[in-house]
Amino acid sequence: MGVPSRVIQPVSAGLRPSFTATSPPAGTTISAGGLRVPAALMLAAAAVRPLIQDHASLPCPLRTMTGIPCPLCGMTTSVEATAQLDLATAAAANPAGIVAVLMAVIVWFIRPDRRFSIPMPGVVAVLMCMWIFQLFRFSVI
Amino acid sequence: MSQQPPGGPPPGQPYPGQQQPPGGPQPYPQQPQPYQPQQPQPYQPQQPQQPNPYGPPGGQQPYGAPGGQPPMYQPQAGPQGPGGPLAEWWKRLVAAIVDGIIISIPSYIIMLVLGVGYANTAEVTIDPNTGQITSGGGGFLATMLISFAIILALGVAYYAYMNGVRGQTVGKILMKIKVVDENTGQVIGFGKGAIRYIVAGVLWMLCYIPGIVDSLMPLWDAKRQSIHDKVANSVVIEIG
Repeated sequence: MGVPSRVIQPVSAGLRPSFTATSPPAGTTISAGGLRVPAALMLAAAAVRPLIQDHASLPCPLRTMTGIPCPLCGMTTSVEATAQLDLATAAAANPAGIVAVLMAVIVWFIRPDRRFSIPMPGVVAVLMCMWIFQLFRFSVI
Repeated sequence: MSQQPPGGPPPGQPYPGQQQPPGGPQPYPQQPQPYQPQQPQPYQPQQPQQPNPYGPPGGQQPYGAPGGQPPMYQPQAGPQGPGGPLAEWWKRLVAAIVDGIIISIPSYIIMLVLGVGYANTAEVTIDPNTGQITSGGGGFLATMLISFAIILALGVAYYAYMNGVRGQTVGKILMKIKVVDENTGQVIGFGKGAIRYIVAGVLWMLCYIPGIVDSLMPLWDAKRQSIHDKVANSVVIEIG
């Protein structure tokens, strides 16, 4: 049977957008267009939430129960502060929030059918850095 | 351009470009092509000797086949798993809601018996040394800890046995979907069933965002796997 094995190739191997839209490459990829709606929701929430009086918030379950913060703690504060251009507050809460807002804006200027692979080791490394930052921030270590 | 076999593509293949690898950019011959689909043999039936159990990602291709051939959409054109087509996301969602209700009812009864229902969350607290339940202050933490412990114990027992040993929870039986090993197509067993549940629970505990991503991930993953599927090497298929 002549069916070739799955060929794993880098996403950015000179592929045309119209082609990548029809045949996604192997591995976990995500399209810029697919990120637009989540990005817009995040920006809208960051703009609207400070306007709500006595806004409710869901506390981090891990930090509530154990006192240990999770890597994403501070992201709500950080994203809201970044949206209000208060970068000092944002960086103090969680520097990744500034990056998240930047990416949420940039994703609207990328062709929607452009696909990106998700490098899992990179994701894990970033989350570990975020976690170390939070552990220092809450004086756990 | 690959040649058109007499009689058209066989059933089970959503478009005739099946013989090329998934990344094979057929319609642009001016680009350097590492693997042109110059397969001498005609298209073969998909079912018996299909080496890739997941088949073509036909359900995710709204733009048609790249060769100008109109795509043939068929009732089960979605990606195939071992033993059946991979379950659609909304069926898994409905099953998860049903199972959540089933788990929450005994959890809530136990919490009522212990006196830590959500109705009086703000008032109830528990002395960690004596176990004495008193009203006023710090109740949220106590409620969260106890409800978490109850849901964890009940959830591990329910999901590990039903998903791992039987392959189906009550919600999955209703939706006619099943958890199987991504390679063998067999049930994954109690241990992996427990791991699958615990991973999903831990992801929800990290400020909720990883849990949301985990729940939505079958929408774009090639094998329609969530993160807790990938950890347990499981896929969810449709049966019957």
